[in-house]
Parts: sequence; structure tokens; C-alpha cells
Amino acid sequence: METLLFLLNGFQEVLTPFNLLIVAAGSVVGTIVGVLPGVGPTSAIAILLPVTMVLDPVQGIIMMAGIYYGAMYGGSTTAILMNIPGESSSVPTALDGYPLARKGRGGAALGIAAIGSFAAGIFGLIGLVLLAPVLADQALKFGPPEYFVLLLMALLILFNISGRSFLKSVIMGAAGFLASFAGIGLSSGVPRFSWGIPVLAGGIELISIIIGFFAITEVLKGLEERRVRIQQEHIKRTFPGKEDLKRSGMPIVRGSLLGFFLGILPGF
Amino acid sequence: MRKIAGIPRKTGAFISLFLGIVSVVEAARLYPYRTDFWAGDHIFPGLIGAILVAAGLFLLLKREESSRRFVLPGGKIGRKMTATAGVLISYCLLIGYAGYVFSTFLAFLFLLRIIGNYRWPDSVLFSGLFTCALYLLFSEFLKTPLPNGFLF
Repeated sequence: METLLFLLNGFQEVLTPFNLLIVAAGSVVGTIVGVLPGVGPTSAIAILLPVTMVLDPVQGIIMMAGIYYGAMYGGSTTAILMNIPGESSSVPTALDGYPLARKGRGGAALGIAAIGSFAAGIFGLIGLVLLAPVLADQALKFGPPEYFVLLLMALLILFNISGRSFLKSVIMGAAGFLASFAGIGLSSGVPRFSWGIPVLAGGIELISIIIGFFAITEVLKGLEERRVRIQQEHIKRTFPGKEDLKRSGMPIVRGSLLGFFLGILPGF
Repeated sequence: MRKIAGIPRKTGAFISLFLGIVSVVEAARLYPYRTDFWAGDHIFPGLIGAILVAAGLFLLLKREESSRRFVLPGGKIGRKMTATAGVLISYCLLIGYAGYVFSTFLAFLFLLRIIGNYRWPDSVLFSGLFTCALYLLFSEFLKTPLPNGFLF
């Protein structure tokens, strides 16, 4: 009950016209920065931190929250419209959103992504406030064996969903593992897979791989299909229709639940 | 356009074999730094390398299972795709030596010519504008360090 009162107190603090203006400004700036490939929410906060210095602490935090969520959503814009995820969390958005954009329904896809992001954010916030003490204890019990099992499950799902050929899925997963090995060895401190190249000694960034695979593939596919534009029509409206909302309702609920429970695990 | 059969599978198999061998060689290099046979930085590269080699061999020896025929782009489109990949690889290699401004300008110039079919004067103009705009955005506004080369 006390937690709920704190939450309501927080809402009371935020819901003033000036604070709402600040959160809107933060979201807009965050979205613009988040659209740039490779600039995720954390980078956006770091880049725009000086802007918040001129504000009061509460307003600064409010603006940073706006920037964070704006940057999170900004990454999905390029993912949907150009099949180029701005960050790793936008990859699933690209898989479903881009085909919609190719059909001329990019506006609806952007709208669904925004609504889904908003619903999951609110669900996560309320869930975290109410269940934080219980979940924090459980999350801290997650040790190396539990993470191993979780990652094994992720790999099994990958092998199962990534097509008809099990062999190709294994190669794909193993190649992904291989890319993650570059950098300083955790056990010995000796550089692995760097061959004296300083950039490789720092490890390979996941975002570089994602942009490389998605963006370059898209450019080459565009050349092959002699495509001039991705979206054949201008985006007129971004609010999805009734049918779209009905069909995306359950996936949003599933995504919110899954994201919430995975998000509380340290390191995920 | 040329119809091909089996080439994508064999290419994938050879890539898998190559990556697997690289990984196993790296594991062998890291082996002396181990704390135990089953503990150390060599173990995962070794295991993954072995998996990649085995999967590559299986893929290479596997019978063609579908009658699908892949079409390899040829002619003008094929040349364009090869040139695009070549420009991107050259850009990666050049940026460290020539710096961001010069290499990005060149990469944009050739990509606009190859992909967009723009005329040379237009390509020069647009690549100059894009390079300046990105430099301003990343270097000046977002304070992202960009590579400096022998030029500037």
C-alpha cells in the first residue's frame, strides 16, 4: 500500500503542465536521436545529459525518462520503414514491421509499435512497483546454471523457428557465438580473435553486426529487385484501425509479460 | 541471370568450415593459457569450432533436398551488387587511413553512382552535402569521435 502511495505521489509530481511539456520535449528529442542507427537509449541519455543540467533534479529525471523512451521508440522507426534496426531490441520490430511497410502499411506498423511500447512500459512500471521486492529476491537467485539453461532454451527456440534446415540453424547460432568471442578473454585476459587488430580486441558490437546484416542485405535486395522506394505510398495516418488493434492486442500482452520477466533479470 | 543449383549450400558449407577451422586454430593458440582442460578461454572457441566444422561437412555432403533453383543475379545487376559490396569493403579499409571525411565522401560518391545512377556532378554535390551533414551531426552535435586520417 505504501508503495502504491509513493507511485501516486510520483504521478502527482509529474502531472503538471510544465513537466508534461518537458517529458514531451524529451521524447521528441530522444526519438530523433534514437532514429540514428547505433545510437540507443543509453547513448542518447549520455549525449543529451548536459541538456538536463539546466533543469531542477526532478525535471531533469523526467526529461531523461522521456529521452530514454523516445530513443527506444526511435530505433523502431528505421526498423519498420527501412528494415534497419537502430538497436538490438528493434530487431523483432523489423521482422514484423517491415513487411507491413512493404505492403504500404508502414503508418499502421509505426502506430502499433508506439501503442505496444506504451502499454508494455506502463505494465512494466506498475508491475515493478508492486512486485519489485518479491521479484528482486528471485532475480538475484539467478546464477550461472540458470542463465545457462535460459540461453540453451533461447538457442533451442532459435533452431526451431529459424527455418526448415536444422543444420543451417546450428551454423547460424554457432557463427553468432563465434562473433561474441572477439575481445579480451574473461579467464586469461589474453585477446581472442583479434589478430593484433585493436578494434577487434575491444570486441565486436552487436549493433554493428545487426546493421551490417540488415542494412547491406536490404541495399543488395533493393538492387536486385530494382526497387526505388520501400514504401510505395506516403504515410497518411499512423493510428491503426480497429482490426489492427484487435489482432495486435494479444501479442502486446504476451510481449509485455515476457519483456517484464526477462527485464528484471540482471544482465538481460 | 543464371540458374544455379547447390552453390548456396556449398558456399554456406565452405564458410562454416572456414569459420570452424579459424575458431579451432584460435582455441589451440589459447590452450596454454588454460586453468584446466575444461576451463579457460580456449574451451568455447574449441567447441564452437568443432561444431562449425562438423556442420559444414554435413552440409557439404548432404544431398540436395529441394528442387528449388536459386537465381544468381548476373549482367548489370550482378556487377552493381559486386561493386556495392566492393565499395563498402574498401570504405571499411580506407576509413582508418584516410579519415572519415575523405573516405565517406568517396564511398557516398560511388554508391550514389552505382545504386542511384546519378550523374557525376550530382553525385559529387550530394556526397559532399551528405558527408558534411553527417560530420556536423555526429562530430559537432553528438560529439562522437570520428577517425582522423592522413588527410583530415
